[in-house]
Amino acid sequence: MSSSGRKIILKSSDRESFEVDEAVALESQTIKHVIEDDCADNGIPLPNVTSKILAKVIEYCKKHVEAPKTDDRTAEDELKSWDADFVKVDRATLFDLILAANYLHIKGLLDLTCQTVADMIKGMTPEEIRRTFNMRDDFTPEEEEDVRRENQWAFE
Amino acid sequence: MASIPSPILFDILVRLPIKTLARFKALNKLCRSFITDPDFIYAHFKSGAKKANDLCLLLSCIEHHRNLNSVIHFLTVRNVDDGFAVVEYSAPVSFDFYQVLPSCNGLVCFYGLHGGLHVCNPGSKDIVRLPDIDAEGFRSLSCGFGFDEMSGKFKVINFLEPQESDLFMDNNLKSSKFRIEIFTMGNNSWRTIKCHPCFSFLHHEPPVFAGGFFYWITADSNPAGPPRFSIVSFDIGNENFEAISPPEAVSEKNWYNLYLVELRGELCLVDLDYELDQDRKKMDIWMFKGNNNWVQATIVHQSEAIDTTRPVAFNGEEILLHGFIRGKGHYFNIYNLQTGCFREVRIQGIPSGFFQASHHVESLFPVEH
Repeated sequence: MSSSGRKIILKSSDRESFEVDEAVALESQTIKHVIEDDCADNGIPLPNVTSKILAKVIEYCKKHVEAPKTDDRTAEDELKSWDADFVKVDRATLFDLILAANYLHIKGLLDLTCQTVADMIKGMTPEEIRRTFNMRDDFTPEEEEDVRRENQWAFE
Repeated sequence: MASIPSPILFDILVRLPIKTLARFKALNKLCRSFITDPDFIYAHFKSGAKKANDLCLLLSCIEHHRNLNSVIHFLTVRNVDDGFAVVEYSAPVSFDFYQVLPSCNGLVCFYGLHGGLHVCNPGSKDIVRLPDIDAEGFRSLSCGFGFDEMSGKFKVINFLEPQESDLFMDNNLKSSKFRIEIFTMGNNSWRTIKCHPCFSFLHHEPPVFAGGFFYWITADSNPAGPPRFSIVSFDIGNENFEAISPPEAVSEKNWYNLYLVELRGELCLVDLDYELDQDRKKMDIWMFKGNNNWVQATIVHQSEAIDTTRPVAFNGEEILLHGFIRGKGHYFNIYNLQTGCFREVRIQGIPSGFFQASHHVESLFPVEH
């Protein structure tokens, strides 16, 4: 139980309720606006976020609200390490976290998840990307050959 | 990925290195048009510039071959503390002495003493030679390269003077015969600009490009005594000249010991003229904040030969210095403004001869005339 500050109730798309400290909820700019507009009394419905993802999001916000805001290198490194572990999830969950962070406007979480995806795909070939994300290739063989030739240096 | 909203796709792509992005142009038509969009390229560069280790470098050196062909090698050092120089691109050029300008938005402009102005993107291995200026009877005094944020275009500015101008000619007379040519990349031709400023250059150096302006140190002849020095700026967007006041503390000094440099996007005036005492030397770096405001940073060292070093990059706390000592070769040093301490930086793969170094951030800007 935390000391002071009121509690906010967040409702996931599958109708589960989560009670969180206001400070934690305010990590989301979207939720912040709802609270400021005084519409939070009966709980805030989040139809775009499932309970599984909302639980993770709340976990992230809690950790970052509680983190001391010092210039201490070790504390910074520790938080980075926690973040790195936080995103060790399956790909589907990672993408759901990105969508949730975007919808809820949680900049730190959006940065973290997008960077994780970027690091994941950085070294991939176009074939690997297409396979991984089920993308259609709409180039004709000649067009694709042209693109590869113009950017030959990137394929070496 | 097809179901990911565009802003998120953007947020992911903007974090990728240029090599990956160039590969992803082959994914499908949507990705190709996304990645080649000028707004994306600009945003990608800006994002990279913010996040990159501010002490990453581009080195350039020239190699002359016996058959009078030469090659200019461009190497990048992504992280000065990791210390590896990697050859990105080697440009074949004709034999000449070349000036390589500091990297601007990932592009590099270089030119020979006898012409041959080129712009290249060492990251994407793209290079173009600009058309020669129709300047019979003129020679180039000072040539600069910069990026205009308003139009999203790169521009080259070239100051020319008549060949027969001699050293002892009155400065005012000299400058009235200047020709100022500008090349906007993508417009395929040079154009002469009309204004005729009344000044002459202190050095025949390229201008410094910082924050959307070209800057030169100028000297007006003063019949009553020594030349008066000032700094002239040229707005790359609206193409106007203006004078800016130097810091009060240096206005009485001998400006032959001063030079301009760009650090962290800002104009800086470097003053090497100071010996504190027998053992210690001082380098003052004045950083221009606009509106006649200058902020001073000072480097003091016991034994380092500071007068052979120049600041090359700055991340807000540490200044990277590049020096050359005859017999010892090149060295890099980092000076921490807060602690007042130096630390030497060793970079592997550095060329053995002379090279130029500038701060660099890779980009996907295309090179076009």
